[in-house]
Amino acid sequence: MARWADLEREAPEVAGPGRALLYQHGPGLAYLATNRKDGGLRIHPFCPVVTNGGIYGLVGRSPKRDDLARTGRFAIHAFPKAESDDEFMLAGEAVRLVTGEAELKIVSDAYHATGSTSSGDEDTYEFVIGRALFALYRARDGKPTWPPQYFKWRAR
Amino acid sequence: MSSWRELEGGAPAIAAAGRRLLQADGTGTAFLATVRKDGGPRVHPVMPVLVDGSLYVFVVNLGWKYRDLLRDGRYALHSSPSAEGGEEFYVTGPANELSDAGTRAAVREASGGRLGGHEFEALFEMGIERALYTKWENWGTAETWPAYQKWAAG
Repeated sequence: MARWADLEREAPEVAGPGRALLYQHGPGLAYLATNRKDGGLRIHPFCPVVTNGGIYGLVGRSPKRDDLARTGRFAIHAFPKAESDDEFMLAGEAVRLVTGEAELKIVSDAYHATGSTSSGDEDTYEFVIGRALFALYRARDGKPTWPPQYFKWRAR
Repeated sequence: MSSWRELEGGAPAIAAAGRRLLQADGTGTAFLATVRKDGGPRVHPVMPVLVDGSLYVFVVNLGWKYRDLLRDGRYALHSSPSAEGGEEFYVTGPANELSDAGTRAAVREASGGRLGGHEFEALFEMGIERALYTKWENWGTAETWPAYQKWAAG
């Protein structure tokens, strides 16, 4: 498992366009899939924030937060792009930050600086990365855009 | 397995919102979560289609998402962001691969011929166990809050 900074250093061809997709609307926006208690799936939008060498989420009281607290396993997929089918996906295990006031403040400040809103009762999770994927599709010109060119990365 | 038809009968307002938000004529993108071999989630886009009270997706049979669905059919499907913002729709259930040529032809036709024209596109019917429609009131303001409408198969 690795941090965002490792992905950036080892696979800039994945991290660069991935970050651009996450922030294409201003605030970070993506879908977060988690495992329910029965092993099934849950998926909801959320606001990821890339800062301090990590990718984080402020997660309010919800079944999604219970999932993360129980298993931590996650998959993140960036919102779709208007002008192409490009994709960015991360998978790994989320870890709750429970100590480190300075780190929590950095994440909170970066989160609010993008325009994301907060209820003030969130837990902060860092998404520790096992795999990352960027898929680059050809332009939509009436011809099939699939298959894309895949750029994959796995943490050592 | 409950189908979209049961959702329409039990919660028509949720089903109508879902049909609109999924753009379920094969032109809209939704996000499909599947269960990896290690139990963790995987997410990729798909283009859902509604035909005669059933929800379908075509999945490329060369990839991991297809293998996930064959091994453990449990899925979660979430709509793309709505054009105006402030609305979400999501369903979960079991997915079952179909090989019936007539159903495949009907889904292909309903997509305007855009989907299902290749052998590598496997057809799945998405069973509906739960559905959730979320309307964010006061959307675009600091005072926004989610109003939920839920449905579960009996």
